[in-house]
Amino acid sequence: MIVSLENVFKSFQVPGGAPLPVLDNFSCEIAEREFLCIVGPSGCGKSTLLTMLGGLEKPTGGVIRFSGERSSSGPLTTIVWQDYALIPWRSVIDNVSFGLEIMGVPKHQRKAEAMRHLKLMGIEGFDQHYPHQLSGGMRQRVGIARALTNNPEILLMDEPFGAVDAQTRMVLQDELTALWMRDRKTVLFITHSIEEALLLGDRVIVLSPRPARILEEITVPFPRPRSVDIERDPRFTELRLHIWDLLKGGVEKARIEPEATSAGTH
Amino acid sequence: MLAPTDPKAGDKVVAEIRAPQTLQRGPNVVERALRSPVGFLFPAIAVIVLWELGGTFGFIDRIFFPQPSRIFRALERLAAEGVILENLSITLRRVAAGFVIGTIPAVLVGLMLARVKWASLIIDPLISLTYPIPHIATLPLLLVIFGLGSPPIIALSSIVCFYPAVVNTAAGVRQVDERLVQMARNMGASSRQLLWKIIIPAALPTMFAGLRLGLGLALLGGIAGEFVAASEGIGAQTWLYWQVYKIEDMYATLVVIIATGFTMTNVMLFLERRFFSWSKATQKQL
Repeated sequence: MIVSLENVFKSFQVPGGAPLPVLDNFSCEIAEREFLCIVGPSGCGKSTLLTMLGGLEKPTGGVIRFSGERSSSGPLTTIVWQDYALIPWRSVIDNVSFGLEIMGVPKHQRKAEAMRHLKLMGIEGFDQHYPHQLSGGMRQRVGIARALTNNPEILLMDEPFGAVDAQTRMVLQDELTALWMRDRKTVLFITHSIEEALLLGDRVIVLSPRPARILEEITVPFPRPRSVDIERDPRFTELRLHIWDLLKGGVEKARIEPEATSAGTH
Repeated sequence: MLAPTDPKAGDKVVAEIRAPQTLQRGPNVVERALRSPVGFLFPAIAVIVLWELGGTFGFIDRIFFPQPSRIFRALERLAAEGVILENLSITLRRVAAGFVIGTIPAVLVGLMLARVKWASLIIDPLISLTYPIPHIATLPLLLVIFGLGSPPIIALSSIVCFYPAVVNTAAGVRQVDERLVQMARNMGASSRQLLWKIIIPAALPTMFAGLRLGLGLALLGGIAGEFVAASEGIGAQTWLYWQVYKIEDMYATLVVIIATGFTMTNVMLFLERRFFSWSKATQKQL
């Protein structure tokens, strides 16, 4: 299944102001079974892109098209959220089987399916725990297990490791890579981290500040299976600095902008 | 561990942090007793004992404030005669009916207030206008409408428990974590699934706290209604003993009312803790 965005325009209505354009004439394509990473400065519209693909927002103009053969039984997309979005009154197993419950899958079947994915994420002993009893890293394992249990066509990941500590993050990156090597599911992965994008992605799209444009598309040259060892590759350093150069202008702009606007009101 | 060393000659000591010389004392016996699970009983017991002694030694008027021991004997006698059980069951039936009649529409209206835009535009002002009225003051009107007996009492009970239930239900629904709504919508949840699987469970702890307050008020409404509108029921009995000047019996029925209210509130608190422990734990983390 291929996802294509054609001239997508998205603006938000600001109370008492002109509409704020977030995506302007944005076009790109996500290939079948591709791991696509998107990096960009804060507030550039990365998350808006993801919520539109997830069916939660409609574009103001342009079209988002899913085309080709279905390769999975689940929904078109399932989002893995940065802040996990686990249901606090449900146990881990009932969180993980939530999507199948919504789809009307019988209880024993969805529990078995959820259990299988808990095992896959290495948290099968925690099925009866509640989210508040788990650490951040564990919660995101539950979040990923829940998304995989849905068996979506495309996995949308919104800075999924942004809220976990640096060491857990490395472990989770490794596990996600291993999982992806098994299933080769199409993944759209949004991140702040250049290193993360280079470690995980087949392709990295670098975005400008709002309204988001594509500054560059980079095909990641490292062969799979990958590990943190790719950071020793001189090409890694080169790419990292190259992406940083692309982003730097935007990051500085985003930092200066609020001051400039507040100065303007005085 | 390093042994403490004396400062070298010539070094000026600016500050030192050391282990305290004496062991720090934990809470003493009285404090520990008061903090124990039954600790809340001790101050009440102390008041009762002082009351008893005050009556025995003539510091307290025994006619208007009979000693607790005499009240207890009156209670025993009334219970043996079957007066307590008979009247209490009448009152409880009225309060239960009032609670159900008041709470069910309150929950429905509360849900609508929080989820339907036009409902909040029309109903919110009505609630805000009638909320500050002392609802007990509607009793004369209810007597005009329903006459004497159970109907006006049940109506008063339902009116007083309606308000906390409606306000808390609306607040609970408005507080639902928007991220969970987004998550469920991305999973393809229908409006109905969203309501039953996310919104209502998320609002339940706040909603239930409103029901707990409402149940307490329903008892209050029931007793107040019975004072004037009925000849049966524990409230009517209290009023009767006042009129015939049986002060000890009046106190005995008051004790029954207090015990009833206390039990109701604590059963509700127990249920809250039993079923909504996730809510407190989640809030603490946020």
